[in-house]
Amino acid sequence: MTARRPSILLVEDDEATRRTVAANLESHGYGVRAAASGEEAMVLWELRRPDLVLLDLGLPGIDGLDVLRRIRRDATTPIVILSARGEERDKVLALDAGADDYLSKPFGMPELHARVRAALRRILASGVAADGSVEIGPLRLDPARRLVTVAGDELRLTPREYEVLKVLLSHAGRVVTSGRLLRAVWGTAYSDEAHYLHVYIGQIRRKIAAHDPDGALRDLLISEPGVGYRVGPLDEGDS
Amino acid sequence: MRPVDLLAVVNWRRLAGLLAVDLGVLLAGTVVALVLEDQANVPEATAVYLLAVALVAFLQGSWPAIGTAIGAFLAYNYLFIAPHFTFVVGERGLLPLAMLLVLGASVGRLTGLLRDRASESDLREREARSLFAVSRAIATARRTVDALPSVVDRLAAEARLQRVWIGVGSTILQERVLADTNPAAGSQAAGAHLRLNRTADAGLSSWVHLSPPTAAPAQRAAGPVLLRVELRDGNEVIGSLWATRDRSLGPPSDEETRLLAVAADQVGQGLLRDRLLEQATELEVTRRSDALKAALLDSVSHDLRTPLGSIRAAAGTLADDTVAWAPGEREATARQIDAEAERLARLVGDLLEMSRIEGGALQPQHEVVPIGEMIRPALARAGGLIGHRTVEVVVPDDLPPVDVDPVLANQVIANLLDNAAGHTEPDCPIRISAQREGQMIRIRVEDGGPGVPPEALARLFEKFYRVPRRRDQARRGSGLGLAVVKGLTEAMGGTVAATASDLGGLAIDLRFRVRADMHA
Repeated sequence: MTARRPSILLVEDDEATRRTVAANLESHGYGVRAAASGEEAMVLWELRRPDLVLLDLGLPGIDGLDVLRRIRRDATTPIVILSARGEERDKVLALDAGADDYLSKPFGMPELHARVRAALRRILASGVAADGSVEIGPLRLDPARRLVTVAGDELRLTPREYEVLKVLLSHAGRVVTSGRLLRAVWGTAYSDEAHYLHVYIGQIRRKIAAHDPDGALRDLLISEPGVGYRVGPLDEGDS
Repeated sequence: MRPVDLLAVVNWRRLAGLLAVDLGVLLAGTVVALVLEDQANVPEATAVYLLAVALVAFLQGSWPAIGTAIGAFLAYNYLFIAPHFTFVVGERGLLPLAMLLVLGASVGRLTGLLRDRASESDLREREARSLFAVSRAIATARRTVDALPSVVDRLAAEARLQRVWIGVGSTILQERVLADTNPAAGSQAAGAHLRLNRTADAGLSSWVHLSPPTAAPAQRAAGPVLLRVELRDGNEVIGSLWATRDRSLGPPSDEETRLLAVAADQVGQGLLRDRLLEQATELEVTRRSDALKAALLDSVSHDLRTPLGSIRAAAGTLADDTVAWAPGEREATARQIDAEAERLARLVGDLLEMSRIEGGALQPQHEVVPIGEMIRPALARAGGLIGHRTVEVVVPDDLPPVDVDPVLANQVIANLLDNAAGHTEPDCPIRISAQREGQMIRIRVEDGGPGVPPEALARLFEKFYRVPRRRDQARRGSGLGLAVVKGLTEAMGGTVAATASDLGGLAIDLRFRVRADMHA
């Protein structure tokens, strides 16, 4: 990674999970502080700002969502939510409140590492250049010229398609909820019209695929059913 | 209780009508007879009067005809028997006069009897038809309650009633209306009414006037007559058959009364049958649910214990520092724990999903979802289990979207992929395809595995059903995966079916209706 050990604040009330995850991350070169409750998390947060927060939503005392909002008031530190499978509504709430990503319990260690790496990379080595252009694999988006290219070829996108892709790319590695995406591109009145997005994302995928014969960008736009979309880390597999 | 107010029920208008017809016929007869005698020189006009009597008998029955015969006798005497224009009868006129009276009365009576018979048999036939219709409506309905609307309609038509309704409840005031020909009319049940007093034997019942203290005194004199026939279960009154009737029609006729009484009996019996059926169904549901719980316990306890046992054994071995590990063995043991835990998580997930489906807690959040969006994330999620096999995806770009919950839809596809992967060898092909079938989209998940015997296809979606396997095959799956698929699919308005695949194995077909407004 980098010279400095990235620090992680782990907030998890189940002791066995907390201890195992903390030990695992430590041994992978992260500096981990663990909190068992929302109150403890806030104390540790004030004491020293970590590079990343892993936050369980179901906490005793201060609720995970409240912890998330307080952290977001202070900083843009990446936050990855840990929550049970099937609770899509909670995930959307947390993502809309500023969380970057989520991980469904029970999760495997490889999955956890992938998400932690992706979230950290967003701040440590962001794909967004100084001029605001974004480059992911062979794809490049240049906001100054409103130009998207794949391996140098121009991608002909409609204005809406361009906006959708731009919002997603500027949040690379993070999950963007459908509601947020719709509000950003169409306006607040459309935040419930998720099927607009399906259609536009489908068109963008087809256009990219036409310029991407070797499939390097096949998993660029990942659907998170019932939640939203993310621009996937292309170089990370599932392992 | 008081006897029926006869003055109120005798129909004066009808009586006046009868008299008018009688007098008219008599007058016409007299005129004809006078004309005949004067102009045509016909000596005896008696026959004309007999014709008039027969006509009245035909129109109105015996008694009006006999009345007419007496009238004819008087008119004949007055006009045609010397001395004319007096009721005095000479010796010569006595015989024809007596003959006219006897003949007239006889003709009137006989013709009237014939007519009465005919109309009575008409009435009987009509009554029988009504009774039959009511019985049939009740007997053929799955539940008596469903037949009541047609029963009240028929009673209203056949028994000349304005409004008929049926209420159940142990007292009049507690009655709940089950059927009503005029639901908007509101409750009239608390007022004064005629109650059918029924006897245990087949003898004819009688109407009794009842005036509860709550009834307004004015109600009796004006407005329609309110009728009530009790519905009984043995000796217990379980409700009432109510009706209102135009006051000018008088109390119901014998036939109408019989119809109401029989209908009340049948409805009472039918409602009793409904109640018994309901109890039996409840009992059956409880029994089945108990059997199901036993199956669940049996299956779940095995499926939960097996991975737990393996996890504990592996973890215990890892924690034991006296164990000498060969290179890589420690990692293999840890991975085994991970795999077993994943199996457990899957089973627990399926169990929770099943209880959500069955407990009615499932509330699909429908969205317009393109078919590709149903399949793509599920493929990504199933990655681990699918392993290194390639899944062939055949989804045309131009398929219209469907109306489903995207989260549940993905789970359905993921479960089907799990199922295909879990029951086939690692090199076995798996294919997902979608195509349009009229107003439906069919999504098929199939494999080239050993497949399922035809007799097992229909049972695949039952909870805890496992296809009988050869002894050497490992026990796989919780027996819940496809039950969850069925439950979720149906909760989203789709259907699911199992067939044999062209690839050689099992094919599961999901069908969802195309969004009505999206035929693109």
